[in-house]
Amino acid sequence: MTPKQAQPVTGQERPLGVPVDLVREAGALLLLVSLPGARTGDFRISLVGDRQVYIEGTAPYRHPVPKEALQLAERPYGPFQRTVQLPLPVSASGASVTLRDGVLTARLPLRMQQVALTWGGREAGDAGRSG
Amino acid sequence: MGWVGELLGSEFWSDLGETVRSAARPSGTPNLVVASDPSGTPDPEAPPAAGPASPRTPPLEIYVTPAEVVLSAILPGLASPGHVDVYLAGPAEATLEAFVEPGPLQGHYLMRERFSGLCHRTVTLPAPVLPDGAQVQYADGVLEVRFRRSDPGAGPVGIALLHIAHE
Repeated sequence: MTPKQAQPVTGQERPLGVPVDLVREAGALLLLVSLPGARTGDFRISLVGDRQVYIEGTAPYRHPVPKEALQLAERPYGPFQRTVQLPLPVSASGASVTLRDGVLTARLPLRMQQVALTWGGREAGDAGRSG
Repeated sequence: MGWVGELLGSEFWSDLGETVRSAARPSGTPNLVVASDPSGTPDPEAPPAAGPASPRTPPLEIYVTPAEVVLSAILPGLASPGHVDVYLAGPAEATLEAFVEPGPLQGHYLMRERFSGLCHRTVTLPAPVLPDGAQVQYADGVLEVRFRRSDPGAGPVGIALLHIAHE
């Protein structure tokens, strides 16, 4: 049965990209990486210096039928890698990594010391202080 | 379209024809709904078909077993199974809608590449299926819908067709 507006499309496999989000939290950078189908052991994440994160791995095929038997195949498989340049220096000490529902979340503490600012003879936020 | 079409390319006009709704959706339980009569007549009130895969629609895989048609969709970060709906507009026409929650609400985004929001795909299945008894599973960011075939034991009777959005 062919719907009137449907056209036969083979469904092209997309390149194995690794989309990421980078979020600035107080005191840390949060790196979220989409790795659908990935389990622990399928990938490695490394901190290179204090400004670069490197992710590499392999997206495994896990369906119970051979790839040739797929009626529609748009999901890419095989090796992947991604380098993310960080805008701020981070520290490996205290870093944490979790994997849930195909999203890898790395929390990277910032390696910076906040400078206390003096505004016109007063420090910021001390309106209630005396002296 | 002339030189403008050549300058912008056919892909630009094809992308312009796609519709993606990004409104928030309430949570709920997954449901399988027969959207129109089972004879397969397209419903003129139905939302426009999403068409082929694009960066804002989930990649799909489909395979057939003697008893099932299995639809697999890549949806990393799906916050809740209640954010998924599957519809049948006929015995072999399935629409998948899902809402992927945005990332952390605290903090400022310095880079944003991952998809979030409402995504929508319509596909013609390679074999007719039943509207009841479908099993849904979500693991490691992959959603799998297993439809019961209405003709168990037969081979695929067609090929999977991706619906092209019409303007």
